[in-house]
Amino acid sequence: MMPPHDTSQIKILICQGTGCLSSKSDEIKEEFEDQLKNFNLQDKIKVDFTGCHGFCAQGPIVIIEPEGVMYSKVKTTFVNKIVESHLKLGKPVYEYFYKDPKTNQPIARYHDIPFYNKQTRMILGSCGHINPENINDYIERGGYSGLKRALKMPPEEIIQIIKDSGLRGRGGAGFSTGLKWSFCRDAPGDEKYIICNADEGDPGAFMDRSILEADPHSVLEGMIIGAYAIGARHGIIYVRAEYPLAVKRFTHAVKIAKEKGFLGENILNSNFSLDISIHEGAGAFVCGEETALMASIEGHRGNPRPRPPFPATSGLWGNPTNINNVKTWASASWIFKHGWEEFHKIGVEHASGTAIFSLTGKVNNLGLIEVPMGTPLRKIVYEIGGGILNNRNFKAVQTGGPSGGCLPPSHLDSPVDYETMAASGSIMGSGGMIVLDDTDCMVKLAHYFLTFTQAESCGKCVPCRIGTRAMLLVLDRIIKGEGEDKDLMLLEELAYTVKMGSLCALGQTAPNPVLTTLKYFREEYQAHIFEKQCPAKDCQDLIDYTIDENLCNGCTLCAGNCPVNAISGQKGNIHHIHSDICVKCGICYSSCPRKAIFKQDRNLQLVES
Amino acid sequence: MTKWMNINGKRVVFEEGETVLEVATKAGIYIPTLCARPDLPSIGACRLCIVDIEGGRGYPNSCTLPAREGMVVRTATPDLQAVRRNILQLILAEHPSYCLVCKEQNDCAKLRHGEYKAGRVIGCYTCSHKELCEIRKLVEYLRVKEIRFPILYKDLPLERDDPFLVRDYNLCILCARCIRACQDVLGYSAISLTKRGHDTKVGTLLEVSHLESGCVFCGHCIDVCPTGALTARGSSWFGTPDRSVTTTCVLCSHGCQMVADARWNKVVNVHPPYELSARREYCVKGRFCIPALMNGRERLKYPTIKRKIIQEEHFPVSWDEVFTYTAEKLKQYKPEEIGILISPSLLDEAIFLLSRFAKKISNHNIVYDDEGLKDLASRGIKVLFATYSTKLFTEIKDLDFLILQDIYESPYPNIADVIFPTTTFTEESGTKTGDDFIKYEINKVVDPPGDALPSWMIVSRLAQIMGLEGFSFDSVINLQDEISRNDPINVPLVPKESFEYMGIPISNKVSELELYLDAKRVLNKSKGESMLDVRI
Repeated sequence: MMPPHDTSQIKILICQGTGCLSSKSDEIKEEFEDQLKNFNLQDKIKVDFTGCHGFCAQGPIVIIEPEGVMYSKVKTTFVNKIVESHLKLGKPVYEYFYKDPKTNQPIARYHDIPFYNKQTRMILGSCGHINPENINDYIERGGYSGLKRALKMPPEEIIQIIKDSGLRGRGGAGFSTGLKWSFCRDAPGDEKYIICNADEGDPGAFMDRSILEADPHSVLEGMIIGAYAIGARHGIIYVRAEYPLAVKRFTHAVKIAKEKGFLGENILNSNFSLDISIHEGAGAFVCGEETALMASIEGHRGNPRPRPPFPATSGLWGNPTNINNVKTWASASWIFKHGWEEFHKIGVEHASGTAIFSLTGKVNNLGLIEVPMGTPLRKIVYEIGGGILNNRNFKAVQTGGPSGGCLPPSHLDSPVDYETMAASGSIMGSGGMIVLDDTDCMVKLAHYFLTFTQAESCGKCVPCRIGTRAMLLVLDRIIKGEGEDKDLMLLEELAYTVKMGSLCALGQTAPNPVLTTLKYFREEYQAHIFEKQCPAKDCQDLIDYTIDENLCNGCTLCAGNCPVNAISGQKGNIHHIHSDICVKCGICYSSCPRKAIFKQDRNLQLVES
Repeated sequence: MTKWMNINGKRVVFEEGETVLEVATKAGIYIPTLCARPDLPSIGACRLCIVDIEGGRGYPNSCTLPAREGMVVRTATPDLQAVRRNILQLILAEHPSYCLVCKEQNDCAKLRHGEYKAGRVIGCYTCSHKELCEIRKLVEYLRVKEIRFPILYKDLPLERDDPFLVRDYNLCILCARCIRACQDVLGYSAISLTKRGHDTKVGTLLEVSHLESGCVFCGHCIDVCPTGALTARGSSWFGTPDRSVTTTCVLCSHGCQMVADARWNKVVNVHPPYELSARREYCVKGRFCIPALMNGRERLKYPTIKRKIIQEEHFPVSWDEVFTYTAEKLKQYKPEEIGILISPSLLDEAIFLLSRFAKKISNHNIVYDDEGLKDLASRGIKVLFATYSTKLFTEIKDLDFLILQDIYESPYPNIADVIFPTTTFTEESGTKTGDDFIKYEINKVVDPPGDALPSWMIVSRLAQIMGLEGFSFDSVINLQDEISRNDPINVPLVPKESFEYMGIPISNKVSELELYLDAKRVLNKSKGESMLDVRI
């Protein structure tokens, strides 16, 4: 039980990131406002909204400050009890807290939740704690102090600070940001541009979206500092059209920043002027590639262009242009707020600062995590992620999205940074991290990613347009059980051609999921091809769902749920699944109360799962 | 200052701004390309020109890579060739290439006379572009003998609804040369890449016809296409020409250089010289209409004299007979009663001799257009030597004797008394002064039909039979010497928008042009734009 507290400074912060909003957190906010009036607490307790916490699977999230208490999976029906019990009477409602996945015990404060306290939230530090549409929240936490400091320095000094901090591009390539800024600064030309790449196309990745929704000024301030250092008078943010809330929040931030004099003409009396405009994408993953992005802004087809020339010397409309990822710009403003030494202290020698990942898949805790560069994978999966779901076995982790690769258990102690990821055949990328267990088929995973890259190929160059399709056709065959002896060699040769021949990084990295799974999980491919078996029992055409006669009690739940009527049997009698009708959706598998349904290899007898 | 780099162990010199491909080509080092062309901006799409740069990462394409001092380049390592071979196989997997892997290909090459027309192109032997195809050249260079990747025939419908062009995008390899020519070089932007990814296809906006998309049918897309995807209707299936002659188009005064391909003594195809960059001057007339215009079966072949036996008719006679007859008739009139009408389609030599003729026998009564003819008519001429047909003939009240020199029967009421069949500009050699006062070379491509003669020769012989001095020349070269010794002649200009040749509307002889003009009239009516969208 919590002691009664001084209610004068209490704040109720309701998450209104896209995830929680889609679970009606706006209604929860209204309900809180109503309930506070109900209990006559509206003058003492403030209700506000924040951006994304990055713990969307636990949403809608409500935080009570200054206690630091977090309610998760909040429903409007909970609000009355929370206000009455916790806020009025001082008795928190334990059943509405986040529960530890292993012990099922409620944890009251978010600081005590391992998912949060094992992270090093620097760039995400304010996400979920400030109102993204209230610039005063940002300023109260030191916002725009970095800009004020920077505007008093000569631009060269700013670039040196970024170089000294060791900041490397967070879009995935990891190029030294300070060096990149200096190239653009030194390039001849009067008209220069900076661009923020917010196209975030990796499936499942939402770090950039979170930051733009929760703390847009951190990105904006970084862009202003960068533009000043480079000598650019125009800035553009390219946001994918599928992020309307991010567009709205950033647009608002630009407007307010301009009103306060942080943007526009003669910023803070420095004689430096900058305008920033927002450009939306139109549904093309390839437009996250910098040259395709610039082509798109120019009004052309989003096709990449060969480099050299690089954007730093010849970019938007031929002018020197510096493009950086959202997280890179946010890191720049962090560096100027806290100092480059503080940034450099975190991480490892060749990769300072933190990395932000979107941790998904078969772990207990899903969401955005920020850890120092060099953190071992094991810590991420087990300490922060809370271990594998349902106590199953760790099989692999896929990093870098469709451009990345899989790492097997032997790599669990690998530190996560640019070079070690690349050395094992994967990439760090923009931060996707999918954890897989022994029920995930690696061949099917490679097929999934290749389907994505094939669909998103812009079609300009031969190796990517035709080569990825040829690879996909081979993989289609393999997961259907029609793989041929020469397929592995064919896949490897095609993969090499696509990798070495493609024009841009989409094509050059498209074979990575196939190459890494072939490297570390070759026996799975061989099982699919030579034995027509899927060891993980994941590939639909290689398995059959079957009912164990010894366990079935004829409750007919499975037949009732089957969407294609593939299960026959009278109530009370043993039921039977007709494999020629079954579409392997798995609904029966999860609805059977006696766990009597098994997956077996299609051509062999029953194998216990 | 000279800059040096190293290609395949060879030290080569280069200039700032050149690409590695340009430097290598100049140094005589071959790098395979498909989408690059000297007259188009490079885009690096085919990936065949990739090279290995020492100290670099991956394989950049040499067509856009700027050469740098001290660069060490290798253009044909075994790995590069292997990757290129695979890329070419990927292209062939989606381009009808059955002939390349057919078991019978050796016999076919020995026994078949060449490519033949079939319902669909399924391989080289059913493709009209076989001899010029750039993919075949690469297959030979890279020694591709098999296609190990899944084969796909896109099964796109053939596009044959526009005049002049035939498009089979099943053969298209998406090198985008046609688009770069149309969009970047010429600025018409009638076509672009549509859709994306594997479904990418060259097309017009909203899939309208080329007539509606702003295409001016200059044909440069066909000229740059490396495969048989784009071909000219009616000109593609003649096989290797017997003769290809570079000459100048005379359908207007711009003086566009053209290459005329001849087969069986007929012009079957016209196209710009390869080396020439696309120029906005090339137009639908010169590019597509010349064969049909020149080869009509109704071409005038024999001189004729109008006689009345039962009714008035033209009877074919020999040149001597028609000249004698004409000379007799001309003697009966006074100089001020004789007029000469010059066609601006005539070559310089003919115009020169006709001017001299006019001086000698008609008191300088020489005119160059219908306006001038009206003026002559008002002065009461009785004899007219016309070198083009016009409907104004019937308006000359006192006209007694009309000499008509032309290539086709007049589309207007035929009141000529004698007809001189003459040659077109592909059937004689000479010069033509263009609208920039440059003298362009006209080279004979084929023999004229029947007994038709060059206009200068007609005037020369007629004048000699009339006993006039200064008309005797045994070759056009002698005549050209004479011209150079004299004052420059008055050269009538033909605007690009003229759709006539020697007074004959070109669309009368070329039905596709009729289609084109009708469509453009409908589209341009409200816009008030030129038929040919001239913007130089």
